[in-house]
Amino acid sequence: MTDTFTIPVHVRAQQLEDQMVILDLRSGIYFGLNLVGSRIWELIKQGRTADEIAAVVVEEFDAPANEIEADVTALIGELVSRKLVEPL
Amino acid sequence: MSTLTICEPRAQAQLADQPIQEWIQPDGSRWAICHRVPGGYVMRFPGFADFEISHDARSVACHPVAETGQQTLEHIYRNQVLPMVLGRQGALTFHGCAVEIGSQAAVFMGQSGLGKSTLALSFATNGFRFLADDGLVIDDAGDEVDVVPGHPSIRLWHDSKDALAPRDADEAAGLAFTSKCRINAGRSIVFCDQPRRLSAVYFLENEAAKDVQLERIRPADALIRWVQHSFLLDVEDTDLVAGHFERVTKLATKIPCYRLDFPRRFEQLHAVRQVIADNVCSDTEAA
Repeated sequence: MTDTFTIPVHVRAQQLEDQMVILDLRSGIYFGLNLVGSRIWELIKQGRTADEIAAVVVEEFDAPANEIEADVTALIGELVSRKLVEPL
Repeated sequence: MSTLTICEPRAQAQLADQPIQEWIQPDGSRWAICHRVPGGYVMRFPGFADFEISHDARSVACHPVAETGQQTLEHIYRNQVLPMVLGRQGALTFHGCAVEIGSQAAVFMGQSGLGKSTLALSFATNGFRFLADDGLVIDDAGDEVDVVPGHPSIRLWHDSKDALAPRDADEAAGLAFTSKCRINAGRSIVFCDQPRRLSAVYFLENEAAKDVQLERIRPADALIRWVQHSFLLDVEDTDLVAGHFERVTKLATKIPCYRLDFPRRFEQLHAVRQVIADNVCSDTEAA
């Protein structure tokens, strides 16, 4: 949970209201994120670790820490598996 | 614009590299493939023709196979190649249809076979004019977003033509690659040859719906659908795709987008038209 991540140059994101759409320009794969997911994406972009991201989300969204930690880990895992983010 | 040159027929030689894009038909066969080659691209329609497109998409050379007729070549060029060429030149092109309602344009998008052309013909035979069928060009250069008129014909299945087209409709010659028919615009199926401001986009989806249902969709959901229905020649050109994504994001934010579900029965089309016409009017009043 101390890894940081980078967003490849061929991945672009657009925030629309409280949702975010991510597009992999090479593969054409797109991915939608809700409000919490969008915030996690922003924190990934800032170079935060998964632990730091979870802490910020717990504070901002007033949610149980264990749930948020699991959600952050799951989302980052999914983004990595789809090659939308890469471990540094 | 681009120049099209029809060359002498030739056999389709093996292309060297992996295609950058391919389009597969419902039966699993390849309808078209696109290869990057020195100087540009080749769009190949197996068994019909190769279209060599210059890198800037300003010129296109068509190399038909010997058996391909002129009508088939023209149709492939107009409906398949030209949208890609225009997209490569910077235009926004999509797989969709458009009709004029009031002085504005309503656009229909959706997967093949969900009834876009049938709905467009239904409008065009009931007091409205159609703007485009299949290759939809959108002009976002100014403050307004306009739909550019396409070719004045509609291509659809025979059952739709039989149910909706007037007896005096001008049916064009058949094409080698499809059993669909084409109807030219005329006195009874009226074409709008001037750009119209885009009022709303309707994404045709659930064909198992029991009645007509219209639901406004959020910009992020609309953006995904806009991207799905885009014509892009070189999906590996990241600058081009990124620019397209940004422009389409603006459209998804600016233009009201709706999910439209309705039973695919001809007798329901009157109700579908009414819902759409009312919706365009209410959006216009709200604006």
